[in-house]
Amino acid sequence: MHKLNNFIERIKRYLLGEETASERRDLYEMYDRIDESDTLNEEQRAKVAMRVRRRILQTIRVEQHVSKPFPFLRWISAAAVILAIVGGGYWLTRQQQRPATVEELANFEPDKGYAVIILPTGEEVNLDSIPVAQSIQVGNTIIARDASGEITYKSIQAGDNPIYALQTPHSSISEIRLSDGTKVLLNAASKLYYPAQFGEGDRIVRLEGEAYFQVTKTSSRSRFIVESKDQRTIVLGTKFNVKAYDHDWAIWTTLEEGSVRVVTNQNNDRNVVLSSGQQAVYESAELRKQTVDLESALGWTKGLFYFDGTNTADVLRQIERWYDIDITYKEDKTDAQYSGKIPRNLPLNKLIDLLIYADFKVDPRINAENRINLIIN
Amino acid sequence: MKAIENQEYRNLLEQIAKGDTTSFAKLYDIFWPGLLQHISTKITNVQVAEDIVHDLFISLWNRRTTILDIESIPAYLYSACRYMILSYYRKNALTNHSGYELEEEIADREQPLEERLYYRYLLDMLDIEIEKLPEKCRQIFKLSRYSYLTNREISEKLSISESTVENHINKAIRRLRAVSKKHYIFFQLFY
Repeated sequence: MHKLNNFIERIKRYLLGEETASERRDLYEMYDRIDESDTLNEEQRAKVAMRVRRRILQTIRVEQHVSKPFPFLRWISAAAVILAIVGGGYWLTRQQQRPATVEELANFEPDKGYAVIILPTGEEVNLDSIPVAQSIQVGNTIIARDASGEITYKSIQAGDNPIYALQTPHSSISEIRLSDGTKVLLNAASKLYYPAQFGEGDRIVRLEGEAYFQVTKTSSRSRFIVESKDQRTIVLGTKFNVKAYDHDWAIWTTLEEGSVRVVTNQNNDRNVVLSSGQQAVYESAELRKQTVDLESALGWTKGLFYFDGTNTADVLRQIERWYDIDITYKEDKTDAQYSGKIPRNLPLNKLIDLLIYADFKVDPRINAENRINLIIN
Repeated sequence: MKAIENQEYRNLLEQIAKGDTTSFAKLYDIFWPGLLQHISTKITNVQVAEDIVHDLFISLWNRRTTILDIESIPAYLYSACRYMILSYYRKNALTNHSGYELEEEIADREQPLEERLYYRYLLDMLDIEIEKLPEKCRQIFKLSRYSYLTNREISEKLSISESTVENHINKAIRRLRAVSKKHYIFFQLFY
Protein backbone atom coordinates (compact mmCIF):
# COMPACT_ATOMS: atom_id res chain seq x y z
CA MET A 1 0.00 0.00 0.00
CA HIS A 2 2.81 2.33 0.89
CA LYS A 3 4.53 1.57 -2.34
CA LEU A 4 1.37 2.24 -4.25
CA ASN A 5 0.77 5.58 -2.58
CA ASN A 6 4.32 6.46 -3.41
CA PHE A 7 3.74 5.60 -7.05
CA ILE A 8 0.56 7.62 -7.16
CA GLU A 9 2.26 10.58 -5.49
CA ARG A 10 5.20 10.51 -7.85
CA ILE A 11 3.04 10.52 -10.92
CA LYS A 12 1.08 13.36 -9.46
CA ARG A 13 4.19 15.48 -8.99
CA TYR A 14 5.21 14.64 -12.52
CA LEU A 15 1.77 15.60 -13.86
CA LEU A 16 2.07 18.92 -12.13
CA GLY A 17 5.60 19.40 -13.46
CA GLU A 18 7.00 19.42 -9.92
CA GLU A 19 9.13 16.29 -9.96
CA THR A 20 12.90 16.32 -9.48
CA ALA A 21 15.19 15.22 -12.28
CA SER A 22 15.93 11.90 -10.64
CA GLU A 23 12.26 11.21 -9.94
CA ARG A 24 11.58 11.86 -13.58
CA ARG A 25 14.34 9.52 -14.63
CA ASP A 26 12.96 6.74 -12.40
CA LEU A 27 9.47 7.27 -13.70
CA TYR A 28 10.59 7.17 -17.33
CA GLU A 29 12.61 4.04 -16.68
CA MET A 30 9.58 2.41 -15.14
CA TYR A 31 7.55 3.57 -18.13
CA ASP A 32 10.04 2.16 -20.62
CA ARG A 33 9.94 -1.21 -18.90
CA ILE A 34 6.21 -1.56 -19.38
CA ASP A 35 5.48 -3.79 -22.29
CA GLU A 36 2.05 -5.22 -22.78
CA SER A 37 3.52 -6.83 -25.90
CA ASP A 38 1.21 -5.22 -28.37
CA THR A 39 -2.38 -5.49 -27.27
CA LEU A 40 -3.56 -4.73 -30.78
CA ASN A 41 -2.37 -6.25 -34.00
CA GLU A 42 -1.75 -4.12 -37.06
CA GLU A 43 -5.20 -4.62 -38.49
CA GLN A 44 -6.90 -3.72 -35.23
CA ARG A 45 -4.74 -0.64 -34.90
CA ALA A 46 -5.78 0.51 -38.36
CA LYS A 47 -9.42 0.11 -37.34
CA VAL A 48 -8.90 2.05 -34.14
CA ALA A 49 -7.02 4.73 -36.08
CA MET A 50 -9.88 5.22 -38.51
CA ARG A 51 -12.43 5.36 -35.75
CA VAL A 52 -10.40 7.95 -33.86
CA ARG A 53 -9.81 9.89 -37.07
CA ARG A 54 -13.56 10.29 -37.54
CA ARG A 55 -13.97 11.30 -33.93
CA ILE A 56 -11.21 13.88 -34.13
CA LEU A 57 -12.60 15.46 -37.27
CA GLN A 58 -16.04 15.48 -35.77
CA THR A 59 -14.81 17.11 -32.57
CA ILE A 60 -12.99 19.76 -34.57
CA ARG A 61 -16.09 20.48 -36.59
CA VAL A 62 -18.43 20.56 -33.64
CA GLU A 63 -15.96 22.76 -31.80
CA GLN A 64 -16.32 25.40 -34.47
CA HIS A 65 -19.99 25.76 -33.55
CA VAL A 66 -20.42 24.96 -29.93
CA SER A 67 -17.75 25.72 -27.44
CA LYS A 68 -16.92 22.35 -26.01
CA PRO A 69 -15.68 21.55 -22.57
CA PHE A 70 -12.00 20.94 -22.54
CA PRO A 71 -11.40 17.40 -23.83
CA PHE A 72 -9.44 16.03 -20.92
CA LEU A 73 -12.34 16.77 -18.63
CA ARG A 74 -14.63 14.93 -20.96
CA TRP A 75 -12.23 12.05 -20.81
CA ILE A 76 -12.24 12.04 -17.05
CA SER A 77 -15.96 12.41 -16.74
CA ALA A 78 -16.66 9.81 -19.39
CA ALA A 79 -14.40 7.44 -17.52
CA ALA A 80 -16.09 8.36 -14.27
CA VAL A 81 -19.51 7.68 -15.67
CA ILE A 82 -18.51 4.37 -17.16
CA LEU A 83 -16.99 3.37 -13.85
CA ALA A 84 -19.97 4.64 -11.99
CA ILE A 85 -22.45 2.78 -14.12
CA VAL A 86 -20.51 -0.43 -13.95
CA GLY A 87 -20.35 0.16 -10.21
CA GLY A 88 -17.44 1.62 -8.26
CA GLY A 89 -15.57 4.81 -9.06
CA TYR A 90 -18.28 6.55 -7.13
CA TRP A 91 -15.94 8.90 -5.33
CA LEU A 92 -14.41 10.18 -8.49
CA THR A 93 -17.00 12.80 -9.22
CA ARG A 94 -17.77 13.87 -5.71
CA GLN A 95 -14.61 15.93 -5.60
CA GLN A 96 -14.79 19.69 -5.45
CA GLN A 97 -18.52 19.79 -5.73
CA ARG A 98 -21.16 21.69 -3.89
CA PRO A 99 -24.87 20.99 -3.73
CA ALA A 100 -26.91 22.61 -6.49
CA THR A 101 -29.76 24.90 -5.44
CA VAL A 102 -33.33 24.49 -6.67
CA GLU A 103 -33.04 27.81 -8.53
CA GLU A 104 -29.96 26.66 -10.36
CA LEU A 105 -31.66 23.45 -11.38
CA ALA A 106 -34.86 25.18 -12.45
CA ASN A 107 -32.94 27.73 -14.49
CA PHE A 108 -30.59 25.20 -15.96
CA GLU A 109 -30.99 25.20 -19.68
CA PRO A 110 -28.86 22.88 -21.68
CA ASP A 111 -27.21 24.63 -24.58
CA LYS A 112 -29.67 23.43 -27.20
CA GLY A 113 -27.38 23.75 -30.18
CA TYR A 114 -28.95 23.16 -33.54
CA ALA A 115 -29.20 20.49 -36.17
CA VAL A 116 -26.94 21.03 -39.14
CA ILE A 117 -26.59 19.55 -42.57
CA ILE A 118 -22.99 19.05 -43.53
CA LEU A 119 -22.45 19.53 -47.24
CA PRO A 120 -19.84 17.60 -49.21
CA THR A 121 -17.66 20.70 -49.10
CA GLY A 122 -17.63 20.53 -45.31
CA GLU A 123 -19.87 23.59 -45.10
CA GLU A 124 -22.59 23.38 -42.48
CA VAL A 125 -26.11 24.66 -42.83
CA ASN A 126 -28.19 25.37 -39.76
CA LEU A 127 -31.59 23.76 -40.35
CA ASP A 128 -33.34 26.39 -38.27
CA SER A 129 -32.07 29.02 -40.66
CA ILE A 130 -34.38 27.75 -43.40
CA PRO A 131 -37.88 29.23 -43.13
CA VAL A 132 -40.91 26.99 -43.56
CA ALA A 133 -42.07 26.59 -47.17
CA GLN A 134 -38.89 28.13 -48.54
CA SER A 135 -35.65 26.95 -49.97
CA ILE A 136 -32.09 28.16 -50.00
CA GLN A 137 -29.20 27.40 -52.26
CA VAL A 138 -25.77 26.64 -50.87
CA GLY A 139 -23.14 25.90 -53.48
CA ASN A 140 -24.64 23.30 -55.77
CA THR A 141 -27.30 22.24 -53.32
CA ILE A 142 -30.86 23.45 -52.97
CA ILE A 143 -32.29 22.86 -49.52
CA ALA A 144 -36.02 23.23 -49.07
CA ARG A 145 -38.31 23.05 -46.09
CA ASP A 146 -41.93 22.23 -46.87
CA ALA A 147 -44.99 23.44 -45.00
CA SER A 148 -44.84 20.51 -42.57
CA GLY A 149 -41.25 21.40 -41.66
CA GLU A 150 -39.74 18.48 -43.52
CA ILE A 151 -36.40 19.05 -45.21
CA THR A 152 -35.60 17.92 -48.75
CA TYR A 153 -32.74 18.85 -51.00
CA LYS A 154 -31.09 18.12 -54.25
CA SER A 155 -27.93 18.88 -56.16
CA ILE A 156 -28.34 21.11 -59.20
CA GLN A 157 -25.36 19.62 -60.92
CA ALA A 158 -26.36 16.79 -63.25
CA GLY A 159 -24.67 13.48 -62.57
CA ASP A 160 -23.38 14.72 -59.24
CA ASN A 161 -24.32 12.55 -56.28
CA PRO A 162 -22.77 14.06 -53.19
CA ILE A 163 -22.86 12.61 -49.69
CA TYR A 164 -24.51 14.70 -47.03
CA ALA A 165 -24.59 14.37 -43.30
CA LEU A 166 -27.30 15.43 -40.89
CA GLN A 167 -26.07 16.09 -37.39
CA THR A 168 -28.20 16.68 -34.30
CA PRO A 169 -27.13 18.46 -31.12
CA HIS A 170 -27.35 16.70 -27.77
CA SER A 171 -30.85 17.79 -26.90
CA SER A 172 -33.01 17.76 -29.97
CA ILE A 173 -34.04 15.28 -32.61
CA SER A 174 -34.46 15.81 -36.32
CA GLU A 175 -36.40 14.14 -39.11
CA ILE A 176 -35.37 13.65 -42.69
CA ARG A 177 -36.80 12.00 -45.80
CA LEU A 178 -34.25 10.32 -48.04
CA SER A 179 -34.46 10.22 -51.83
CA ASP A 180 -36.22 6.82 -51.87
CA GLY A 181 -38.92 8.09 -49.51
CA THR A 182 -37.42 6.45 -46.43
CA LYS A 183 -38.06 8.47 -43.29
CA VAL A 184 -35.38 8.75 -40.65
CA LEU A 185 -35.87 10.19 -37.20
CA LEU A 186 -32.43 11.04 -35.86
CA ASN A 187 -32.05 11.04 -32.09
CA ALA A 188 -29.97 13.58 -30.18
CA ALA A 189 -26.18 13.70 -30.52
CA SER A 190 -26.26 11.63 -33.68
CA LYS A 191 -25.10 11.87 -37.25
CA LEU A 192 -26.41 10.31 -40.43
CA TYR A 193 -24.46 10.24 -43.71
CA TYR A 194 -26.47 9.64 -46.86
CA PRO A 195 -26.24 10.27 -50.59
CA ALA A 196 -28.39 12.95 -52.23
CA GLN A 197 -29.75 10.23 -54.53
CA PHE A 198 -29.68 6.50 -54.03
CA GLY A 199 -28.35 4.64 -57.06
CA GLU A 200 -29.49 1.39 -58.66
CA GLY A 201 -27.93 -1.01 -56.18
CA ASP A 202 -28.03 -1.14 -52.39
CA ARG A 203 -29.11 1.96 -50.55
CA ILE A 204 -26.38 2.60 -48.01
CA VAL A 205 -26.35 5.13 -45.17
CA ARG A 206 -24.00 5.49 -42.25
CA LEU A 207 -25.16 6.16 -38.70
CA GLU A 208 -23.28 7.43 -35.66
CA GLY A 209 -25.67 7.48 -32.72
CA GLU A 210 -29.33 6.49 -32.79
CA ALA A 211 -32.05 6.65 -35.42
CA TYR A 212 -35.47 5.20 -36.16
CA PHE A 213 -35.96 4.18 -39.79
CA GLN A 214 -39.13 3.70 -41.77
CA VAL A 215 -37.72 2.22 -44.92
CA THR A 216 -39.67 2.35 -48.15
CA LYS A 217 -39.68 -0.87 -50.09
CA THR A 218 -38.49 -0.08 -53.61
CA SER A 219 -39.52 -2.16 -56.58
CA SER A 220 -35.96 -2.86 -57.60
CA ARG A 221 -35.60 -5.09 -54.53
CA SER A 222 -32.56 -3.05 -53.58
CA ARG A 223 -31.54 -3.55 -49.99
CA PHE A 224 -31.35 -0.72 -47.49
CA ILE A 225 -28.20 -0.94 -45.37
CA VAL A 226 -27.39 1.00 -42.23
CA GLU A 227 -23.71 0.95 -41.48
CA SER A 228 -22.82 1.79 -37.93
CA LYS A 229 -20.05 1.22 -35.48
CA ASP A 230 -19.00 -2.44 -35.80
CA GLN A 231 -22.12 -3.69 -37.62
CA ARG A 232 -24.46 -3.42 -40.58
CA THR A 233 -28.24 -3.68 -40.53
CA ILE A 234 -29.66 -4.97 -43.79
CA VAL A 235 -33.35 -4.65 -44.69
CA LEU A 236 -35.79 -4.56 -47.56
CA GLY A 237 -38.66 -2.49 -46.27
CA THR A 238 -39.43 -2.15 -42.60
CA LYS A 239 -39.48 -0.07 -39.41
CA PHE A 240 -36.57 -0.41 -37.05
CA ASN A 241 -34.29 1.41 -34.68
CA VAL A 242 -30.49 1.34 -34.51
CA LYS A 243 -28.70 2.66 -31.47
CA ALA A 244 -24.96 2.80 -31.96
CA TYR A 245 -23.38 5.61 -29.97
CA ASP A 246 -19.62 5.66 -29.91
CA HIS A 247 -19.39 5.64 -26.14
CA ASP A 248 -22.07 3.09 -25.37
CA TRP A 249 -21.14 -0.39 -24.29
CA ALA A 250 -23.27 -2.11 -26.92
CA ILE A 251 -25.24 -1.62 -30.12
CA TRP A 252 -28.97 -2.25 -30.02
CA THR A 253 -30.99 -2.95 -33.16
CA THR A 254 -34.73 -3.15 -32.56
CA LEU A 255 -37.28 -4.29 -35.09
CA GLU A 256 -40.82 -2.95 -35.03
CA GLU A 257 -42.15 -4.31 -38.29
CA GLY A 258 -40.92 -6.48 -41.19
CA SER A 259 -37.58 -8.20 -40.99
CA VAL A 260 -33.94 -7.16 -40.76
CA ARG A 261 -30.59 -8.89 -40.71
CA VAL A 262 -27.85 -7.62 -38.45
CA VAL A 263 -24.32 -8.45 -39.61
CA THR A 264 -21.24 -7.68 -37.53
CA ASN A 265 -18.11 -6.28 -39.14
CA GLN A 266 -15.87 -8.52 -37.08
CA ASN A 267 -16.94 -11.71 -38.71
CA ASN A 268 -19.25 -11.93 -41.65
CA ASP A 269 -20.67 -15.24 -40.55
CA ARG A 270 -21.97 -13.75 -37.38
CA ASN A 271 -25.43 -12.40 -38.02
CA VAL A 272 -28.99 -12.65 -36.77
CA VAL A 273 -32.33 -12.15 -38.40
CA LEU A 274 -34.88 -10.33 -36.28
CA SER A 275 -38.60 -10.55 -36.37
CA SER A 276 -41.01 -7.99 -35.04
CA GLY A 277 -40.49 -7.16 -31.36
CA GLN A 278 -36.99 -8.56 -31.23
CA GLN A 279 -33.76 -6.79 -30.50
CA ALA A 280 -30.19 -7.63 -31.44
CA VAL A 281 -27.59 -6.67 -28.86
CA TYR A 282 -23.99 -6.56 -30.02
CA GLU A 283 -21.81 -6.34 -26.96
CA SER A 284 -18.13 -7.16 -26.52
CA ALA A 285 -17.94 -9.18 -29.74
CA GLU A 286 -21.07 -11.18 -28.86
CA LEU A 287 -24.20 -10.81 -30.92
CA ARG A 288 -27.39 -11.99 -29.23
CA LYS A 289 -31.09 -11.74 -29.79
CA GLN A 290 -33.74 -10.87 -27.23
CA THR A 291 -37.38 -9.97 -27.01
CA VAL A 292 -37.94 -6.39 -26.07
CA ASP A 293 -40.60 -3.93 -24.98
CA LEU A 294 -41.03 -1.88 -28.16
CA GLU A 295 -42.66 0.99 -26.34
CA SER A 296 -39.58 1.32 -24.19
CA ALA A 297 -37.01 0.88 -26.95
CA LEU A 298 -38.78 3.43 -29.14
CA GLY A 299 -39.77 5.74 -26.28
CA TRP A 300 -37.43 8.44 -27.52
CA THR A 301 -39.34 8.77 -30.79
CA LYS A 302 -42.36 9.80 -28.71
CA GLY A 303 -40.33 12.28 -26.70
CA LEU A 304 -40.02 10.10 -23.59
CA PHE A 305 -37.41 8.70 -21.29
CA TYR A 306 -38.75 5.24 -20.69
CA PHE A 307 -37.76 3.14 -17.69
CA ASP A 308 -39.03 -0.39 -18.31
CA GLY A 309 -37.78 -2.03 -15.14
CA THR A 310 -34.58 -3.40 -16.65
CA ASN A 311 -32.84 -0.47 -18.28
CA THR A 312 -32.13 2.00 -15.48
CA ALA A 313 -28.46 2.61 -16.29
CA ASP A 314 -29.25 3.01 -19.95
CA VAL A 315 -32.02 5.57 -19.43
CA LEU A 316 -29.88 7.56 -17.02
CA ARG A 317 -27.32 7.60 -19.79
CA GLN A 318 -29.91 9.05 -22.16
CA ILE A 319 -30.82 11.72 -19.62
CA GLU A 320 -27.18 12.57 -19.23
CA ARG A 321 -26.77 12.98 -22.97
CA TRP A 322 -29.95 14.98 -23.39
CA TYR A 323 -29.30 17.55 -20.68
CA ASP A 324 -25.54 17.46 -21.20
CA ILE A 325 -24.93 16.90 -17.50
CA ASP A 326 -23.08 14.19 -15.64
CA ILE A 327 -24.84 11.43 -13.78
CA THR A 328 -23.05 9.29 -11.29
CA TYR A 329 -25.10 6.19 -10.74
CA LYS A 330 -24.16 3.40 -8.46
CA GLU A 331 -26.04 0.38 -9.58
CA ASP A 332 -27.06 -1.96 -6.84
CA LYS A 333 -28.28 -5.25 -8.21
CA THR A 334 -30.35 -5.93 -5.13
CA ASP A 335 -32.29 -2.72 -5.62
CA ALA A 336 -35.72 -2.75 -7.11
CA GLN A 337 -35.64 -1.64 -10.73
CA TYR A 338 -37.57 1.37 -11.85
CA SER A 339 -40.30 1.71 -14.39
CA GLY A 340 -42.08 4.75 -15.70
CA LYS A 341 -42.09 7.40 -18.38
CA ILE A 342 -40.65 10.87 -18.14
CA PRO A 343 -41.17 13.52 -20.84
CA ARG A 344 -37.99 14.76 -22.41
CA ASN A 345 -38.75 18.46 -22.35
CA LEU A 346 -38.90 19.07 -18.59
CA PRO A 347 -36.82 21.62 -16.71
CA LEU A 348 -34.12 19.81 -14.81
CA ASN A 349 -35.62 20.42 -11.37
CA LYS A 350 -38.92 18.84 -12.46
CA LEU A 351 -37.07 15.86 -13.87
CA ILE A 352 -35.30 15.44 -10.55
CA ASP A 353 -38.63 15.67 -8.72
CA LEU A 354 -39.93 12.83 -10.87
CA LEU A 355 -36.83 10.75 -10.28
CA ILE A 356 -37.22 11.26 -6.55
CA TYR A 357 -40.89 10.42 -6.83
CA ALA A 358 -39.88 7.19 -8.56
CA ASP A 359 -37.82 6.45 -5.44
CA PHE A 360 -34.37 7.36 -6.68
CA LYS A 361 -32.14 9.14 -4.23
CA VAL A 362 -30.84 12.14 -6.11
CA ASP A 363 -28.09 14.41 -4.90
CA PRO A 364 -27.62 17.27 -7.39
CA ARG A 365 -24.21 18.89 -7.22
CA ILE A 366 -22.24 21.48 -9.13
CA ASN A 367 -18.55 21.03 -9.67
CA ALA A 368 -15.74 23.54 -10.09
CA GLU A 369 -16.44 23.89 -13.83
CA ASN A 370 -20.07 24.73 -13.11
CA ARG A 371 -21.14 21.42 -14.51
CA ILE A 372 -24.11 19.71 -12.97
CA ASN A 373 -23.61 16.23 -11.63
CA LEU A 374 -26.51 14.17 -10.32
CA ILE A 375 -25.38 11.58 -7.86
CA ILE A 376 -28.02 8.89 -7.94
CA ASN A 377 -28.39 5.78 -5.88
CA MET B 1 7.96 7.75 -34.50
CA LYS B 2 11.58 8.72 -34.87
CA ALA B 3 12.03 8.01 -38.54
CA ILE B 4 9.81 10.80 -39.74
CA GLU B 5 11.64 13.70 -41.28
CA ASN B 6 10.65 17.27 -40.72
CA GLN B 7 10.09 18.04 -44.37
CA GLU B 8 7.27 15.60 -44.67
CA TYR B 9 4.98 17.44 -42.33
CA ARG B 10 6.52 20.88 -42.04
CA ASN B 11 4.39 22.47 -44.76
CA LEU B 12 1.28 20.86 -43.30
CA LEU B 13 1.87 22.79 -40.09
CA GLU B 14 1.55 26.15 -41.80
CA GLN B 15 -1.83 25.15 -43.20
CA ILE B 16 -2.91 23.78 -39.83
CA ALA B 17 -1.92 27.04 -38.17
CA LYS B 18 -4.44 28.71 -40.48
CA GLY B 19 -7.12 26.27 -39.38
CA ASP B 20 -7.06 23.82 -42.28
CA THR B 21 -8.70 20.59 -41.12
CA THR B 22 -7.64 18.59 -44.20
CA SER B 23 -3.95 19.20 -43.45
CA PHE B 24 -4.63 18.24 -39.87
CA ALA B 25 -6.11 14.95 -41.02
CA LYS B 26 -2.96 14.38 -43.10
CA LEU B 27 -0.80 15.04 -40.07
CA TYR B 28 -2.85 12.48 -38.19
CA ASP B 29 -2.34 9.96 -40.99
CA ILE B 30 1.43 10.43 -40.82
CA PHE B 31 1.65 9.90 -37.09
CA TRP B 32 -1.02 7.46 -36.01
CA PRO B 33 0.86 4.26 -36.92
CA GLY B 34 3.82 5.01 -34.67
CA LEU B 35 1.64 6.47 -31.98
CA LEU B 36 -0.79 3.55 -31.80
CA GLN B 37 2.02 1.06 -31.99
CA HIS B 38 3.55 2.69 -28.94
CA ILE B 39 0.30 3.02 -27.03
CA SER B 40 -0.65 -0.58 -27.62
CA THR B 41 2.47 -1.67 -25.75
CA LYS B 42 1.42 0.43 -22.75
CA ILE B 43 -2.36 0.26 -22.57
CA THR B 44 -4.57 -2.80 -22.84
CA ASN B 45 -7.90 -1.01 -22.77
CA VAL B 46 -8.79 -0.11 -26.36
CA GLN B 47 -11.29 2.55 -25.35
CA VAL B 48 -8.67 4.31 -23.24
CA ALA B 49 -6.14 4.07 -26.08
CA GLU B 50 -8.67 5.66 -28.41
CA ASP B 51 -9.41 8.44 -25.98
CA ILE B 52 -5.73 9.18 -25.55
CA VAL B 53 -5.11 9.48 -29.28
CA HIS B 54 -8.22 11.61 -29.65
CA ASP B 55 -7.35 13.97 -26.81
CA LEU B 56 -3.75 14.19 -27.93
CA PHE B 57 -4.70 15.41 -31.37
CA ILE B 58 -7.47 17.65 -30.13
CA SER B 59 -5.05 19.35 -27.78
CA LEU B 60 -2.66 19.81 -30.70
CA TRP B 61 -5.52 21.30 -32.69
CA ASN B 62 -6.41 23.60 -29.83
CA ARG B 63 -2.98 25.16 -29.98
CA ARG B 64 -2.83 25.18 -33.79
CA THR B 65 -2.11 28.91 -34.03
CA THR B 66 1.20 28.32 -32.26
CA ILE B 67 1.84 24.86 -33.68
CA LEU B 68 4.92 26.13 -35.54
CA ASP B 69 6.60 26.73 -32.19
CA ILE B 70 6.77 22.98 -31.73
CA GLU B 71 10.13 22.17 -33.18
CA SER B 72 9.58 18.46 -33.41
CA ILE B 73 6.07 17.09 -33.72
CA PRO B 74 7.18 13.47 -33.14
CA ALA B 75 8.99 14.51 -29.97
CA TYR B 76 5.96 16.47 -28.87
CA LEU B 77 3.61 13.56 -29.52
CA TYR B 78 5.85 11.15 -27.71
CA SER B 79 6.26 13.38 -24.70
CA ALA B 80 2.56 14.25 -24.56
CA CYS B 81 1.50 10.66 -25.05
CA ARG B 82 3.71 9.47 -22.20
CA TYR B 83 2.19 12.17 -20.02
CA MET B 84 -1.33 11.01 -20.74
CA ILE B 85 -0.51 7.36 -20.27
CA LEU B 86 1.15 8.00 -16.91
CA SER B 87 -1.83 10.09 -15.95
CA TYR B 88 -4.07 7.15 -16.83
CA TYR B 89 -1.92 4.75 -14.77
CA ARG B 90 -2.36 6.99 -11.79
CA LYS B 91 -6.12 7.19 -12.16
CA ASN B 92 -6.26 3.48 -12.66
CA ALA B 93 -4.23 2.83 -9.51
CA LEU B 94 -6.47 5.19 -7.58
CA THR B 95 -9.66 3.49 -8.71
CA ASN B 96 -8.38 0.03 -7.96
CA HIS B 97 -7.42 0.91 -4.42
CA SER B 98 -10.27 2.60 -2.67
CA GLY B 99 -8.24 2.46 0.56
CA TYR B 100 -6.10 5.24 -0.77
CA GLU B 101 -6.95 8.47 0.97
CA LEU B 102 -8.21 10.65 -1.80
CA GLU B 103 -7.21 14.25 -1.77
CA GLU B 104 -8.51 16.81 -4.18
CA GLU B 105 -8.69 15.37 -7.65
CA ILE B 106 -5.50 16.35 -9.34
CA ALA B 107 -4.84 19.83 -10.53
CA ASP B 108 -5.51 18.36 -13.94
CA ARG B 109 -8.26 20.81 -14.06
CA GLU B 110 -6.42 23.99 -13.31
CA GLN B 111 -4.62 24.33 -16.59
CA PRO B 112 -5.84 23.34 -20.03
CA LEU B 113 -4.45 20.04 -21.22
CA GLU B 114 -2.70 21.60 -24.21
CA GLU B 115 -0.78 23.91 -21.89
CA ARG B 116 0.29 21.10 -19.62
CA LEU B 117 1.33 18.93 -22.56
CA TYR B 118 3.37 21.72 -24.09
CA TYR B 119 5.05 22.47 -20.78
CA ARG B 120 5.89 18.80 -20.39
CA TYR B 121 7.26 18.67 -23.93
CA LEU B 122 9.55 21.63 -23.18
CA LEU B 123 10.78 20.02 -19.97
CA ASP B 124 11.51 16.79 -21.81
CA MET B 125 13.27 18.65 -24.62
CA LEU B 126 15.33 20.50 -22.07
CA ASP B 127 16.35 17.19 -20.53
CA ILE B 128 17.50 15.95 -23.90
CA GLU B 129 19.44 19.15 -24.59
CA ILE B 130 21.19 18.94 -21.25
CA GLU B 131 22.36 15.45 -22.14
CA LYS B 132 23.85 16.89 -25.32
CA LEU B 133 26.07 19.39 -23.47
CA PRO B 134 29.83 18.66 -23.41
CA GLU B 135 30.58 16.30 -20.56
CA LYS B 136 32.25 18.63 -18.11
CA CYS B 137 29.74 21.34 -18.76
CA ARG B 138 26.86 18.92 -18.26
CA GLN B 139 28.28 17.50 -15.04
CA ILE B 140 28.70 20.96 -13.53
CA PHE B 141 25.33 22.16 -14.75
CA LYS B 142 23.59 19.17 -13.19
CA LEU B 143 25.38 19.58 -9.87
CA SER B 144 24.24 23.16 -9.86
CA ARG B 145 20.62 22.75 -10.95
CA TYR B 146 19.70 19.29 -9.80
CA SER B 147 21.84 18.77 -6.70
CA TYR B 148 21.57 22.43 -5.74
CA LEU B 149 25.27 22.77 -4.96
CA THR B 150 26.75 26.26 -4.85
CA ASN B 151 29.52 27.22 -7.23
CA ARG B 152 31.98 27.04 -4.34
CA GLU B 153 30.84 23.52 -3.39
CA ILE B 154 31.16 22.39 -7.00
CA SER B 155 34.62 23.84 -7.30
CA GLU B 156 35.69 22.04 -4.14
CA LYS B 157 34.09 18.78 -5.19
CA LEU B 158 35.73 18.79 -8.64
CA SER B 159 38.94 20.57 -7.58
CA ILE B 160 38.59 23.32 -10.14
CA SER B 161 38.40 27.06 -9.74
CA GLU B 162 35.14 28.79 -8.95
CA SER B 163 35.40 30.92 -12.07
CA THR B 164 35.70 27.80 -14.23
CA VAL B 165 32.50 26.51 -12.65
CA GLU B 166 30.81 29.79 -13.42
CA ASN B 167 32.02 29.73 -17.01
CA HIS B 168 30.68 26.26 -17.56
CA ILE B 169 27.31 27.11 -16.14
CA ASN B 170 27.03 30.23 -18.25
CA LYS B 171 28.02 28.28 -21.30
CA ALA B 172 25.35 25.68 -20.56
CA ILE B 173 22.69 28.33 -20.15
CA ARG B 174 23.73 30.06 -23.35
CA ARG B 175 23.52 26.84 -25.30
CA LEU B 176 20.22 25.77 -23.86
CA ARG B 177 18.79 29.18 -24.62
CA ALA B 178 20.10 29.13 -28.15
CA VAL B 179 18.35 25.83 -28.71
CA SER B 180 15.02 27.30 -27.81
CA LYS B 181 15.07 31.00 -27.53
CA LYS B 182 11.38 31.24 -28.25
CA HIS B 183 10.49 29.52 -25.08
CA TYR B 184 10.11 31.98 -22.28
CA ILE B 185 9.87 29.05 -19.94
CA PHE B 186 13.61 28.53 -19.95
CA PHE B 187 14.17 31.94 -18.53
CA GLN B 188 11.84 31.10 -15.72
CA LEU B 189 13.77 27.95 -15.08
CA PHE B 190 17.15 29.55 -14.97
CA TYR B 191 16.63 32.82 -13.24
